[in-house]
Amino acid sequence: MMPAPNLQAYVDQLGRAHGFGREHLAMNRAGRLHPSQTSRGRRSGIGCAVFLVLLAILTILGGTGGAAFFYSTLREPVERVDMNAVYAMAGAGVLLSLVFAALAVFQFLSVGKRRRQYDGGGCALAEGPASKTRVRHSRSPDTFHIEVGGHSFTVGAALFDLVTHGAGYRVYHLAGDLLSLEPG
Amino acid sequence: MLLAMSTYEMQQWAMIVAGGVVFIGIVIAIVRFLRAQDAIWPACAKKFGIAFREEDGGSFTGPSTRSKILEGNVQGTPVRLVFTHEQSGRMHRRGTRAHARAYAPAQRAFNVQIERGYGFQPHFHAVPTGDPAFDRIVQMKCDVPDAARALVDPNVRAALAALPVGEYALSYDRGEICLSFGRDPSSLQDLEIPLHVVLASARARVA
Repeated sequence: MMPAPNLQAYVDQLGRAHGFGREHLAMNRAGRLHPSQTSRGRRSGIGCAVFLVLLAILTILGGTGGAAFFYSTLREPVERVDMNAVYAMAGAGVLLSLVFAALAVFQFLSVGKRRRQYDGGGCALAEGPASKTRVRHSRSPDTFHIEVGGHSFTVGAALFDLVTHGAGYRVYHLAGDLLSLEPG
Repeated sequence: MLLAMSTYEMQQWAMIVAGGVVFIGIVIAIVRFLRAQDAIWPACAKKFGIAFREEDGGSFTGPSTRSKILEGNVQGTPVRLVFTHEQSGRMHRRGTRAHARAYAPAQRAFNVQIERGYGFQPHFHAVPTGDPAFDRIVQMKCDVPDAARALVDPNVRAALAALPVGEYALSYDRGEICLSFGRDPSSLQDLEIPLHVVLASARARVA
């Protein structure tokens, strides 16, 4: 029977599973963020916002461009029913584009809020027994959640497997992100 | 009419009939399987002499919760086993919890994570019981090892060893015992063994 890892080896295992090292944990214990945590936290979410902007551009170009192309194929005099189709295509494109643009604005605001929190340089501490929940979704992969001290975090399967349900942990977190953790 | 059919037509009809028979067979098998699954609840209630009831909550369009509950007294110990299925959009959450009250409650609170059938894996919170036969098939993880060892006396170990392969959480909160796991009970044993675990745990002496 292999010996159980000691505390430091266990913390290292947790770090490998979640992507933090001893230096990250040391800074988090002091209530500060490691520079790599700051840069990762600042980047997070920006890809989704950019994707939504691209979707907004594509849908407005697709809708209005498609409507213009269809109009160019029509012969004079243009029937009212054909014009309705032109308006419907352009309108649907503009409407979808507005929806994606609104979502992009919300995402940018959310990213801005996260950035301000990460720029603050501090992190929060949650302590208590860990409660593990695996949520099964139809047609998409399972998600893994750990709740400590009233804060819930979505984590990867590797960290989920390493955390002991009901055991006490100290979790350092910011803006809903689990930065690092240790038993205690 | 049958005689007027060509061989090709007769083959087509034979295929349609065979397909229909197979389809009906599948439907009957599914219905029998679902009925057999439903039947384990009243069967377990009868075996332990406790009551069974079902509860439905929520709305057709919004989040909904469906529960199956076994509740009563077994040899003077109040027990309760609840299966809950929560659905919210495409998210499903299933869980089963068996509860009992300890005969001699201790003023302690702790949780034990139990992994049945995965072998022993070295872990910071691993709690070997000193019973090699048990430790080979059941791994316990807890941050209060002395309490976990006190709870799993030989009777509790025997009940835990009988659990189906899977992960379980056994909690003790000032005498309130709860064994939980995140799956649907699909056989009578899936209901009986958790009840045996909490009943045995209720008799254990946790100092």
